[in-house]
Amino acid sequence: MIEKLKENWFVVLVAVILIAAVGYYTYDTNKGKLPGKKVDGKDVVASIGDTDFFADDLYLELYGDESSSSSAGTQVLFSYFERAVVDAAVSVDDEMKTNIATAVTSVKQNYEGQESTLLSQLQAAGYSSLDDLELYFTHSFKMQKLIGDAYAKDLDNLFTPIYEEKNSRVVSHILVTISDFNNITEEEQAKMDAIDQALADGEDFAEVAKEYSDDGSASDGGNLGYVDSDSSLVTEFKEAALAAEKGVVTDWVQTEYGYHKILVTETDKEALMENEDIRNDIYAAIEKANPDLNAQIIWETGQELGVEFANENVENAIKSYLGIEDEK
Amino acid sequence: MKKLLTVCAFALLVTLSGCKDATTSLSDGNDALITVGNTTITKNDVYTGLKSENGVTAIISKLTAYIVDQEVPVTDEMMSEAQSTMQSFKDTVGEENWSTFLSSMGYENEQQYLEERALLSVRASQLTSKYITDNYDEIKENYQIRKLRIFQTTDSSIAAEVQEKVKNGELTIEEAVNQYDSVTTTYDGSEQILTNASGLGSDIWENIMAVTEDNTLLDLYQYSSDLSNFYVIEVVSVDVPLEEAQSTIEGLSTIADDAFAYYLDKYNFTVYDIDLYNGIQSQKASYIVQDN
Repeated sequence: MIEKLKENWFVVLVAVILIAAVGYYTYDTNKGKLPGKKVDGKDVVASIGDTDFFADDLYLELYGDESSSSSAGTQVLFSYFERAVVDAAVSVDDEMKTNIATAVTSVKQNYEGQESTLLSQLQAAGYSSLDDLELYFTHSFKMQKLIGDAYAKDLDNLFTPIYEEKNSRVVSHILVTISDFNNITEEEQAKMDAIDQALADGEDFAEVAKEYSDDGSASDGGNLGYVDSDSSLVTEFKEAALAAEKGVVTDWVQTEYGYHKILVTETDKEALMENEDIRNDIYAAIEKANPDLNAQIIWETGQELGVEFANENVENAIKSYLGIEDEK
Repeated sequence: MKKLLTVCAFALLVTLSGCKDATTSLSDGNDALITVGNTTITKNDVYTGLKSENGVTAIISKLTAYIVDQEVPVTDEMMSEAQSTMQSFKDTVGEENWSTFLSSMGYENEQQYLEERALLSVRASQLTSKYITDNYDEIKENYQIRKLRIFQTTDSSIAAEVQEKVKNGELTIEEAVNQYDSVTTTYDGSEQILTNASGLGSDIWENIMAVTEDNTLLDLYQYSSDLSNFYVIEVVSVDVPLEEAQSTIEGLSTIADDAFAYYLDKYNFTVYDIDLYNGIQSQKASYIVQDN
């Protein structure tokens, strides 16, 4: 044996150097790393005194009742299910890629120095680290696409009842802010008079809004977009906007903000459905009117992709979470 | 020789695979809970999600149970308090909803709730007091506990006048508070037990700490760093007994965490999962007591 080693002294030398290097590398790379622990082949999460807390037990405790739709486990499982469905059903195109990148950059900038807050919010949404931010937005945009496509396919059926019940329309306005309604200043009155004169002279409402309106919508010609009876607007404004006829500028309407001139620019259902600028508002109105619809879309898309559950408890819990009733 | 080199290569491979922070998995973690198309959602996936959402809270609750078992034996009074707390909560929830509530919270019966929730809470509340009692000397040193009398004003000339009068024995600080326009009631001239966390500026506190004799008036009136407040301070006691300091210490915002960290260290708390480690680090950094 010794003779053999002597004959191959060079290989032995290389082996010794290699072993020393491995030893040092092991020491160096494990330095500062959190060590793990197993007992009887099971992972230990933490220990105190002579007590070990096992991953298996922690899972059961955290999951809660497997058959309950309100257990923490069902909620987490649903979020994974939802992501699996959108991941399989929607692919990322160039536009979505850009949107994701923009959103990630913007959030990172907004949360600079507050990363722990961002992490908490990501964790609350079922993600584990800041590295998951891109994943979060990927799922989010995919979800929007999936839901949006489903709405678009059945838009007429979904929107018609809302249109008929909630008086849907597109609204613009011009605002003159008033500091004290009991003592309207000369300047405030002069502005209102100028607006009245311009409109009476037939000037375009949007141009007048751009020139005179004190509202943030001025740069967009006073356009407030989609409005219906559910819109979050001050009561006096909403009532006047919903009562106004298309193309007719209202008298001055007083609200807590000041005086408004209101113009309804569209009430036709087909035109509203075709207007891409208000598409998201219409989708929001559809979602509000049909609170279980998105869950139904997720479920049906999952069914198309093929879903298998580990057992009946899990299946029933997820169905119950989604508000899906068994077909009789 | 080939064998030798093979062994070396294997050792390198093993080393490389072990060079990261530990994370934990379930024994049956690869079992699928749901399969959607080609995507499988495993128990480990859900475990990871649950761990990041509520893992820290669950572990801290387990640690609390362990520590109180070691440190706070159950007394009849505690049991009685726990039963009373539970009964009061039961009345709020309503007898008819009680079983549903217990089961939704994961308790099998009322007895389990009593022992694992109500009684644990009562025992845990004793932990900080016990820590203070057992470690008072150290706490006294860390928080620099002193008994003081303080006159506070926003007017430096009044502060100078009071300083002079108290120094000459014409007035006590308590009398000065009654006579002059003291701006707040935080320091009302009576004897108060204060700590270095009480809100007086660090320079002022340094001067207080320089006093070694009881009943010593600081030579000069003190002032806040923005010169908006002026103080005349008498150090009544440099060695405050526990009985007098207990309630002040219990009121310190950091003391409960100090106590818990102390017991975690005492019982060698160790985390073996990097996600939980990071979670605890970000929520309760002082609870990490292990050396990696």
